[in-house]
Amino acid sequence: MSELEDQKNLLEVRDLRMHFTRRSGMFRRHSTTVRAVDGVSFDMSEGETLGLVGESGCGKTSVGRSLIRTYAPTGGQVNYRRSDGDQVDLATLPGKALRPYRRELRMIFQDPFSSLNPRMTVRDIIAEPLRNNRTAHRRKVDEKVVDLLQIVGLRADYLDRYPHAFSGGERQRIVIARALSLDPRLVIADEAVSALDVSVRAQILELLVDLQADHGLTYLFISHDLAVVRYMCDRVAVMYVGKIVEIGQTGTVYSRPRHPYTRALLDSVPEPDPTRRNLLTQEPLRGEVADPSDPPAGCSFNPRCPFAEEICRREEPELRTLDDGTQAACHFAEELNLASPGGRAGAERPMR
Amino acid sequence: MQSGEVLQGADEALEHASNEPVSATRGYWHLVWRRFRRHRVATISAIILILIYAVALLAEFVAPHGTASRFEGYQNAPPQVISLVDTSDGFRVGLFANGYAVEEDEESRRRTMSVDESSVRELGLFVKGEEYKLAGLIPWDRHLIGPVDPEEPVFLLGTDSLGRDLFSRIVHGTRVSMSIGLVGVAASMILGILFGGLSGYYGGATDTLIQRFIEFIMSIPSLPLWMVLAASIPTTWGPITSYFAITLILSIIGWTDLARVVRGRFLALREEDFVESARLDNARTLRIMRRHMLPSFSSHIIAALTLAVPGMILAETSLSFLGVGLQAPVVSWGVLLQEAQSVRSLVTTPWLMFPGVAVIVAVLALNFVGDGMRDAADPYN
Repeated sequence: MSELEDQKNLLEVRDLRMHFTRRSGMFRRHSTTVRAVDGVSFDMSEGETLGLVGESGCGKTSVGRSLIRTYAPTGGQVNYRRSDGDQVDLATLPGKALRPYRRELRMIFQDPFSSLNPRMTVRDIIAEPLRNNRTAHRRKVDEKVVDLLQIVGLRADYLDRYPHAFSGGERQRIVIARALSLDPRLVIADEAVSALDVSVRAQILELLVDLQADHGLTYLFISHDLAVVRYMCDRVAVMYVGKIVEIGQTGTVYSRPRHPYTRALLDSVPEPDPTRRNLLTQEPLRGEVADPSDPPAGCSFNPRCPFAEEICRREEPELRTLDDGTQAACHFAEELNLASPGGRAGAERPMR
Repeated sequence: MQSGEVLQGADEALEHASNEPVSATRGYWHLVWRRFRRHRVATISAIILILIYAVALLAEFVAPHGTASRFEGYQNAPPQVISLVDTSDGFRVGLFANGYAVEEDEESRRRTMSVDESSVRELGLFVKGEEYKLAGLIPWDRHLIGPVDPEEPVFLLGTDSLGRDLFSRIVHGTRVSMSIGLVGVAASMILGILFGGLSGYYGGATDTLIQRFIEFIMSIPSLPLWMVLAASIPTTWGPITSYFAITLILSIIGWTDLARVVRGRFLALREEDFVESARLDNARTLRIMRRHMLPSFSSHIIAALTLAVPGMILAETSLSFLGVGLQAPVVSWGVLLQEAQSVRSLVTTPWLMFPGVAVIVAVLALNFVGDGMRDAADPYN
């Protein structure tokens, strides 16, 4: 990557690791290490939306939490480019030094029912970050809160209501208003619409897209919903057992996945067209998700992969860049043709 | 200014917001109160409690006599019953009680008093009596209820062996007995929230250390510990000093339960998204605890505190009953019960047990109110 391109990257994540140690047994003698995130690297340029998809338990939430440092990563770097152009490694900053960055990296939580304090009014909830960071003058706080409410499409007379008086969609709007209150640069949306009704989901996604245009936001959009990710994201990263197995432009990845796991994920999306109802014709993915505390040797996906060969059980594939710019971690990324559902019909891999 | 217009719009909107569901803008405490009122027994108990504390506050006014006033010739007088009509001499409406008759046993030379149904004494409301200072400030001489003629006293709950009016003494004892619970619980609350909060919020080694310490304190048999500590209070200390010493002794053990409640709540809340989000909002630790976590279970704390008060009252009563708590001339229910210790007094003067009834009523009322609070604490569920 050239120097010029490098300048645009808001965030450069390098070999991020988040290992949880769990002690068990009498006197805690046995310890098991859960490799929730195991060497994840990706870049985010300013203004883009990167989707992070994968099954539950694959570590995508842990990636998000490591970036905003609710978890302290056990390894790797999170290089964040400040607005003055300097880079800081958020992964190793001590708690006090993190404070200014907490304003620029904000989080939208999954469950709008548990992320709002039931004892506080909407006014206090949205004003809380403003007060804590003293970004607005005392008397201006109220005006700012009303502004924010209008930005996220809520009526100003809801100010003195408590969260329990709102629907899920409205609550998520409040959560978004709180995230926006400090004029963030990077917003991490962890399953931001997963808890919402389908009809409300579209409205919230629309709001997020509008806000991105108006405020120049960069989104890390964590989701297990491939349809939503396709709608929202410029690029998408697919995670499996703590690692990114494929990352690339959304359109390219969806039309021509390069990793068998991406193919399987795409196949699991129910097709709304009854003539192409793939659930009935497609064989579901075999086997269980690998245990992140004891991943299989070689490629983590090999026990479930229909194309697994000897090398897959022996060597762990590196994430490497392919001709169309997509990066994939599969030994046969170049040879497999996974463009059509199932991938089997079009698999043109010479038998060895 | 645009935002100024927005604010104006908000005010207008608020005016026609009245047709919205009321609970939307009503605070948490309003909902708790609504839930609490549905609990019939708790509501009645709350009223009784308010009355008891009102009596404690206005003891001098409610009691017909002072704590130390002795009535010569009225030792061990039995309780009198108030009747609303007097038919001995025509028909009169008012408050009346019978007089006393004294019998002297020739052999034992013991005087026994009994109610003389033939004589009538009149009682009145707001009668003039002994002078006192209301709440220690306002000098007054009126009493809520009392004999119209000071020479013809009436003892609603009888008298003790020194001729002191038991009803008056129970009323005066209310102040000490009921307040010792509150003061003791206040002390436990400070210790409990502090240690429970530290334990639950930080977890890890801090938690382990504090929890083992609490378990150690809980493993000490409480009554002997109290007795040792109470017995070590110097006799030279005045009644006020030893009163506070006793409350401190009671709260030494009392705080542990509350600390556990607070710890459990903190542990659960620490992982909540809204606490997490407060942390990400750069809120300081103390602010997170005070503003984001404590309000979520303040009603639980109040319930736990209410349920702790009866324990304190009972403990004070036990200590005073055993003679190591408060000492005469201080009047508390426990001190009064001390006189009912011997079997002989139980047989000849059973009314000396009345302070026990006061304890039971107060403790039950507190327990019911505590239960009601606990049920009402989560109005959203």
